[in-house]
Amino acid sequence: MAYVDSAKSIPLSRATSLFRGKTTFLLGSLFLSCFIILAIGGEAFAPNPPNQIDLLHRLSAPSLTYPLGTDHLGRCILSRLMTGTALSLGTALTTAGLILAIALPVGLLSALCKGWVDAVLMRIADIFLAFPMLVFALAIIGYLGASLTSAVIGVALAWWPGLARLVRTLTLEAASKEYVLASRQCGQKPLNIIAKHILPQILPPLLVVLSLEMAGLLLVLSSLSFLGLGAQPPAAEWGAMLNEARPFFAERPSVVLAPGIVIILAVLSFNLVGEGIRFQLDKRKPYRW
Amino acid sequence: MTIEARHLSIAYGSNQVLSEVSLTLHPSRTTGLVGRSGCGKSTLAKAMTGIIPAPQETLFHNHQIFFPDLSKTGDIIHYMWQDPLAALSPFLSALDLICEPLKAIHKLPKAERQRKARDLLHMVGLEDACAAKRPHQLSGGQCQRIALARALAVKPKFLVLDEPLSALDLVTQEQITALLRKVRAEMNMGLLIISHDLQTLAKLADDIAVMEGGRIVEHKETQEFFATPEHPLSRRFVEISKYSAPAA
Repeated sequence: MAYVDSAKSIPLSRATSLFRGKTTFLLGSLFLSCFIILAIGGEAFAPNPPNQIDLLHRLSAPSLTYPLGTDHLGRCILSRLMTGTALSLGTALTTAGLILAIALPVGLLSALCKGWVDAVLMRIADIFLAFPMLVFALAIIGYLGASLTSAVIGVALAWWPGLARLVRTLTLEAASKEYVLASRQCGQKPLNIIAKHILPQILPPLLVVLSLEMAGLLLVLSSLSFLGLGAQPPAAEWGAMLNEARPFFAERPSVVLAPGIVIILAVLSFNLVGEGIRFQLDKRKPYRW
Repeated sequence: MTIEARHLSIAYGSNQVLSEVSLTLHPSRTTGLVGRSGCGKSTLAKAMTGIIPAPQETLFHNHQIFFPDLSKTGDIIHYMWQDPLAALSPFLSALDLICEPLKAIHKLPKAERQRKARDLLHMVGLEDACAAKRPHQLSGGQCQRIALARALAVKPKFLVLDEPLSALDLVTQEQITALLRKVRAEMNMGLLIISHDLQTLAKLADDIAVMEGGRIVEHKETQEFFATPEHPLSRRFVEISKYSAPAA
């Protein structure tokens, strides 16, 4: 009986493994490609100008002119979603870049200099980590004033310590490899060792984590815009669109549902791509028949 | 010119790995280091080359206190790792690996270092086809020869080889043995060879040191060592090496 059960489970495990592997990555890439195309040419593909106000058709139902209906000012929801892709994804990518720009040198310095440099940098990271991430970001935005730039800076400053700790751990492991020591013995300078031997080791896992973090960043930035602390009206940003549409949810649910679903799809695509890359890079793959 | 360890002791917590070890390396001279696994041979070699820190005032270079530093003293005393695949970067080709010290230490221009690297490849018995390959695309023996070519590119005054012939076939072992003899004579290089194979050491080493429990228990000229081993472990090693040698 046990034999029959295990035989039955094989196709299921194979399907699961396939889904977690290339299919996951391809599906995520497909979604992400659509978003990238929209980010590049969203305004050209949009059926209507995104900020064109048409008060005669405010909160209208989907039609041929307005495929997803209109918001409380009669602006085309689909056009605003399409043109908002560049701003929403661009903001998340900029924030991720800023986080990496802080975390990478801090983690590398901490791991390679060791001693008091390591102690000081990691204690600073610990202080940042002691605060709840969103509360810390809100405090920074409060200090800088509500704007999209403040949101990006606030989130990046609240987010870097976790990634810096990861960079430090990965670097410590990478730097202790025999071939790195052998390269030092061959007279290589520290910067060359970082570029040729350490970065190629730490970047793949770091990019996987960052692609998974992108989903979280997108949500936090959208949440901040939803709270009115990120993108300001009339900017077509997904979170800001949610915020503006909130009072009209009962009257026309699609004004809230449309940006909500787009945010979910973007988060999902980043998660799928991240999970796909992680699965492909994972050396501890189970035996596959 | 010498490199000397004087009363060198190293402990990992309560585990005493080396106890009062003294060993001197001379130029143009090969010292063989034998002992059972875990007796501290590699630790001694790594401490002398700066891979693991040694206590102060236990290492001397030309009778001056010596602070081995991987980044700075690799051309004075150089360590060749036991596992060549782990010691060669998977991101670089064989040629680039050999070019690395030629650029960083000897500051040779690109064309010259590539020519020199190819010469070294040929010297260790590898063909040009290996030059563009990365370590994981080569066999263990080929990697070992690339590691040796790279160590020779550094041109250190003293070269420490940890099991340098373990992954090689008999013909290549013979070639590398002859190469090491030649290099020692031409480059005036002092060698410390860690090996379990006494027959190889009999061919290469001028003197042999036996380690047990973190101490050097016997250190003699090679011929004397094989003729009159004193310590029970030395006697056992010599006995086994004679037993494993083919009958004349």
